[in-house]
Amino acid sequence: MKTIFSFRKHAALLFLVPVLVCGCTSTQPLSEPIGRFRTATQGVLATSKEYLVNMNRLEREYRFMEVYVDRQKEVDATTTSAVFSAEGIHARLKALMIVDLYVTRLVEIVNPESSDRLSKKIETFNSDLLGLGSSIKTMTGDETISNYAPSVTGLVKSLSLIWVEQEKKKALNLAVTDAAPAVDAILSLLEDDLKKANDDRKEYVLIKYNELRRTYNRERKSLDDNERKKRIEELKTLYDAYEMLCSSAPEGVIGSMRSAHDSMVQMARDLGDTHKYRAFAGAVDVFSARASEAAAVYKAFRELSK
Amino acid sequence: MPENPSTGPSPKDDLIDQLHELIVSLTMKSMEPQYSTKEQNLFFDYAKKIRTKRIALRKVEFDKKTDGYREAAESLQKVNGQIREAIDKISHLIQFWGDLSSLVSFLDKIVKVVSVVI
Repeated sequence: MKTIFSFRKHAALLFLVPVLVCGCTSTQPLSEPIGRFRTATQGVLATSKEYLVNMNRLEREYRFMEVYVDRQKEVDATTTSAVFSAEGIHARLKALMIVDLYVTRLVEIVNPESSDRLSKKIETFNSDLLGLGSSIKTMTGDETISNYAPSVTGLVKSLSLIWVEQEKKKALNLAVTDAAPAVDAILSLLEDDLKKANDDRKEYVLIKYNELRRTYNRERKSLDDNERKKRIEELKTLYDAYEMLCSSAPEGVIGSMRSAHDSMVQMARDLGDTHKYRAFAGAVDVFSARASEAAAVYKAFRELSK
Repeated sequence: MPENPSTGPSPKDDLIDQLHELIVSLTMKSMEPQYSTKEQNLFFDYAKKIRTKRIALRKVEFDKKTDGYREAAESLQKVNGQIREAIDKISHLIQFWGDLSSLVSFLDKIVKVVSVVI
């Protein structure tokens, strides 16, 4: 009995030391900021997709407007042809989907559920082992399993949890470090694409406003009050939409996403550094706020454009 | 991943941005009352002509950047595969304990059956 007691004491020490050494930099606290990073990313990617898939529609609307204001122009194949290739749009949407998948997997790595599941499986194993020990004891009188099972499974559980934590850290480090250049390249391209797509939109809205303004000024004396009111409302809505586009810079959200991802890379390289963790959590706060703001502005613009 | 030349801003990008500024500026000028109608029309016509050129440049620039997206996406896809493997490794350990538990439970049943027979 003394030997067993002594083994239990040492077994406890055996798993306590690695827990103290490795457990202090658990990936568990990362699940919350990385989860928020994912939510913000999904919002940004959804808005970016809208910009990309509507680029050709916008140019088509512009050409129809040109045909409308210029009686010399005919509606032909050039009026409806796409400016931006379907392959190019597809490549962009695919890249966005891969970024989304990458962020989803980061969440999966730091999900504390895997450690909980492991604990539960080992506890089940422990109770099954104790059941087996009890059956063997009934049959042979041997108490070895019943005496050692709790200590051994306790030790195994702790070591397994440490191993899982180490694997998670390794996976997170590999993920963000290896992915960083590709993520940065995609975000850099997207940042520029969105800036230009927003500029296209601004030009379209401003030129349309000016066309309608000129028409109104030319025809205003012959219009009845109802028609005048309707056209003025239309002009007002268009100018509101233009101002909204000027005040929002969708590429800025991508910039804050890049900053947050960069902070995550720095943090993953040194998981024990609390300053880097705080810097990452702070960058995610900024990114989340800008992503919500951008989504709200885009939604308001869509409402105005209806 | 090697640095992609198509990700950085090119002189053409700058030109596209400058043309955008010019289009906005000319359109705004065409609304100012101090100019005659003829001048206003001239500003606006120039703005529209420049926009046509700008969109042509946008098309070229858009196609050029497509390769950059493809290369980066391919590279990220590989990393995603590596992350999947790492996640699977953790899942396998959890599965191992589940399987071991089933085995012990099965052994317990055998021992119980054997003890009844004996």
